[in-house]
Amino acid sequence: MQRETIERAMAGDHDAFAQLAAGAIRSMYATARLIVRDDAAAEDATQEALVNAWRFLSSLRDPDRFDAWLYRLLINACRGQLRRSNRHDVIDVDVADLSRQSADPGVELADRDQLERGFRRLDAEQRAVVILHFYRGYSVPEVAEIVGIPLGTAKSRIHRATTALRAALDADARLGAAAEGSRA
Amino acid sequence: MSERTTSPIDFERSLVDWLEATAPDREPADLLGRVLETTLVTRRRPGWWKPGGPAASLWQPRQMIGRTLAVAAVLLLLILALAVALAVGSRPQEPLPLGRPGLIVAGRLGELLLVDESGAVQRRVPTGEFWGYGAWSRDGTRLAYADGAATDPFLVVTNPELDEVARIRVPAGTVAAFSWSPDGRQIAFGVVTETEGQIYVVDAAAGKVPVPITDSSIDARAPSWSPDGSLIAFRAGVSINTQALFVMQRDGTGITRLSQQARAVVETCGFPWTPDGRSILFETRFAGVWAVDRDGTNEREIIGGTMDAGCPTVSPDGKRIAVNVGTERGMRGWIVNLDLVIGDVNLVRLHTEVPGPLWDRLPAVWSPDGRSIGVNGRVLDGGPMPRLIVDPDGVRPARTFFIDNAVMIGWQRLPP
Repeated sequence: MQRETIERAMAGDHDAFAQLAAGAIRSMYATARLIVRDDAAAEDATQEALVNAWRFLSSLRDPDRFDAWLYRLLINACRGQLRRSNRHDVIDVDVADLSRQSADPGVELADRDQLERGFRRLDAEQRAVVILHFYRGYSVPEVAEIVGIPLGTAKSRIHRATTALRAALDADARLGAAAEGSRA
Repeated sequence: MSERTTSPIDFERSLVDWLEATAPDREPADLLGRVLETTLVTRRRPGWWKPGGPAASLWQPRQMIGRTLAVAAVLLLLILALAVALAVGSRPQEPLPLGRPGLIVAGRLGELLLVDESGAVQRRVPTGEFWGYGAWSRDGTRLAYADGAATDPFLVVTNPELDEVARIRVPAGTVAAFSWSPDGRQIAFGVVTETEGQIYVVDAAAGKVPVPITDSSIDARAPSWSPDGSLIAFRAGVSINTQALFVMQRDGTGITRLSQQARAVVETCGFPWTPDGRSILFETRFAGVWAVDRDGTNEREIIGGTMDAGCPTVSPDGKRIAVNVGTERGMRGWIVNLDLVIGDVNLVRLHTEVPGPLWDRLPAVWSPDGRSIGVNGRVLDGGPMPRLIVDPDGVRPARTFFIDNAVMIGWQRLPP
């Protein structure tokens, strides 16, 4: 069913493309939002990726790789958004993030804060692989294909990113312990 | 005192929980509608089109010969119409004669470098907390850059040997986007703070603190002096829906909005004028590269609509532009013949696609003789960023070098 819709869209059927876009846009926007940490930039990245998907869909070789291809366009769009944001230094701390997080019982408040800080210190490439792997659930080989890097690079990039995030959490724990010690 | 460390399993669980908690539940209500509205009017690329592929594929496939001939005939007619229109329209000024290439100014955080065409660093100077994004005067005898800290910045003017000629204290903020007046007597520049951007014009030899020529309320940025020295183009507008291209006199009076149709104007790559002073090119937020005439007429799209195109730079003869175009394989460099852009009909002819690595989203730098372009390349896997000197005609092989990740900004123009 999905393959047939993709093939119709590849042939120029805009209704078929609309179906594909409607099915993908929510997770694409969520992924972009996690990477770029900004609502407007995530909107633009999602829109850019979907418009480029429509433009270049006829050049897609394997309809079964549509999802990976679409996310590759999205990652490229996010890179562009982050480069623009970085030059302006306008990545703001999103207060809404914190309010959303506080409703989640699965992560300690301090951990959430440290994860947020640690995540903002990752570059665009590291954010992308972390989100594709841990949030979208892609395997490491799939992440490598989507991002367009060798498998070994994908593995090391995920490792470096998670190490940095873990270090942020552990540093927070050490600080907490030190604070308790000083009060005692 | 004990230390807590997270186990890998606990950490991954925390990470997944955090990602799921911070991901938005739904997309903005009108996003899908906007996408479909855009795609409905977006021309699809045919199957043989390889985004970012060799430009030759546009006209070499045999099956395209018939169509190409038809397109060529239409183009010829339109060119003739344009020639007639130009002949009866306003007369452009004579462009600056082509010059000889001198040294390339390149900058990175805290340092300005002068490099030759082979990439060899000839001179260096520290720039404090600022990026070493210097600007050559049009005669190539002076260089302006920012030095110091955002809390206490200076505008420094030097000769090509980097000997200081003037050091001018400027208001606190991020100092950037220098543009020399054509006569080399004044420099326009922007100062951006957390809340506003303002444009200043200062005498290149004076030592007093300059005063802004724009009102802080309009958030003015990225001044660009016209070739005849009568106007300064800049971006103004506080909200994204109002950010547009404007011009003003050198004293800040006569502010006139030029861009009307294009989406929000992006100032990061500056606003290059065509050498005849007739038009200004500009990048828009997610709506491609546009141009508009200095009187606000003839606003037209250069690189289309929804393409992720930006950072246009004009060749010294005004016949071509180098532009960065986002493709599914990343950012590529295109050289586009500007003379075929007519009104709002997108008749851009892709002259060539620059081979080699991906382009960073930074302006390409034309040599003053128009025979070479300095390209700021990028790699996705980390490591040093390649810099290239390429031939816009794609004949001579590219020269690649690395200059400590400094960004090439401008090319010194020596007399012919």
